Amino acid sequence: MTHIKIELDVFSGQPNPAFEIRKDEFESILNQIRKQRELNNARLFDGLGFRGIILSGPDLEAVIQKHVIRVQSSSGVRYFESNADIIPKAFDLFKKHDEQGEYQDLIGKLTEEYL
Amino acid sequence: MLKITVDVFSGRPNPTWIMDDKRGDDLLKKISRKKQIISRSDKGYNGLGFRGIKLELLGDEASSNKLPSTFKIADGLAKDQKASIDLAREIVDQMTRYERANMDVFRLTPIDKRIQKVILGSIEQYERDLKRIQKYIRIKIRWPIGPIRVTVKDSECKSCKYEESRFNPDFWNADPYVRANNNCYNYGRNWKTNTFAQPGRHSGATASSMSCSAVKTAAMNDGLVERCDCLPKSEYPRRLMALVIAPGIDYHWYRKQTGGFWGHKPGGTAARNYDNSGVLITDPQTCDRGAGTYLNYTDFCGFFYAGKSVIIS
Repeated sequence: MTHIKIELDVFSGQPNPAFEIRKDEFESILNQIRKQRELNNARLFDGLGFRGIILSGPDLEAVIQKHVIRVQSSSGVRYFESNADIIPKAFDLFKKHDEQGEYQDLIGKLTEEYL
Repeated sequence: MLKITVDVFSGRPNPTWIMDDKRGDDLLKKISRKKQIISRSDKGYNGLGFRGIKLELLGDEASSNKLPSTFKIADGLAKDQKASIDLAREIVDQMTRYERANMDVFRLTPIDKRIQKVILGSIEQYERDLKRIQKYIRIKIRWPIGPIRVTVKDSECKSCKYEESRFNPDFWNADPYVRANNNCYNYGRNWKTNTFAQPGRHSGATASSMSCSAVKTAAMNDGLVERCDCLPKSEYPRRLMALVIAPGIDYHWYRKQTGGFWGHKPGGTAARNYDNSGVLITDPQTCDRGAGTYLNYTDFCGFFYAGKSVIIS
C-alpha cells in the first residue's frame, strides 16, 4: 500500500511529527501548488528549526516553506512561489490529522511565528 | 571538439553537450586570450547549486591554443570572476543549438529551453552568492585535509585525550536514504544506524523530557561520559560531542572535527559544518542555533566523550 503523508520538518534529534493523509487531500494542495508561479531556482532553509511542511506520496515530495515550495519527482526538481493560502492550508491539514492534539502547542507557536 | 558540462545538479546528470563546430573553435580562441577566466584545479566551489562549467578538449588540434585539456570556468577560483561568469552565460545561451545531437545523457537531462532557464537562474543565484562562495572556498582550502583521524590533548582538561575526525559530509549526504534515516545523534556518535538513533534507546530508556538533564541521562546510559572524565586508549576512537536543547521541544548534537571546527546534522537534512547564519562552527556554545526563532536551541548542556563502547540505536 502506498503511504501518503504530511510531515512537519522541524526536529533535529527526535523524529519529525507525521501523519498519513488521503490521496484527495494530497492532490488538493498539489493542484494549488502547480498553479503558482514557477521559479528558476531557489534556496530552501535547511538548518536548525522549522524547515517547512513536507507532503510525500508516490514518486513526489513537496516541501512547503513560507516563500518557496520545492517539488521533487522522478522527472526532476521544480520550484514554485509560495503564497499566503498554501501554507495555512498545509498547517490545517496537519492539525486535522493530529487527533490527539499532541502537537497543538507546537503548531500554535509555529503558525504564530510563520504566518 | 569541445565537451561542455555544466556542474549544477545534485540528483540528475549534469547538462552536457559537445560543440563540434566552428563555435567551439572560436570559444577556445577567446578563452586562450583571457586565461585569467579559467581554473585548472578541482578545489572550486562544490556546494549545492551552480558550481561552474567544465570544458574538455576531445581532439589534439585544439591544444594548439595552449589550454589544458580539461579546465573549468566560473567555479569561484578564476582570477577574473566577472568575465568567467559572463562567459559561462554565453556558453549556456548557445546550448540549445546542440539539442539535436543524440547523446544518452539527454534522456535524463535534455539540453532544452527549460533546462537552459534553470541553469541561467542558478548562475544568477551564484553571482549573488559569490562573496560567500569565495569565502567558503578559502576556508576549505586553508584547512589541511590531513589524516582521517587525529588524537589530540583536550585543552580544557588536565590529561584527557580524544580523537578528531576529518569532516566527510558526503558519507551522510550522498545517499538520500542515509541522509533521511540518520540524525544529529548518529552524526555526533559517528555511527550510521539508519534508525534515526535516540539517546537511551539502546540502553532501554529514552529521555523522559526535552531538557538538558533528561537527554544527558539518556545519552550517558548509552555510555557517553562528561568531558574531562578521561576515556582510556582502549576506547579509541573517542569523539568529543556537544549537546544543546530547545527546551521542551528537541535536542541537537555536534561533533568536533579536525581543522578546528565542528560538524553536525540537523535531523534528516544534510551534514554540514556551518550554523544557521552560514558561519563555520568553531564553538557550539556560541554558534547560531536558531536565534530569533521559536525553535531556538538555547540551552547548552555540555561536552561529552563518546568512546568505542557507546552503542546507539
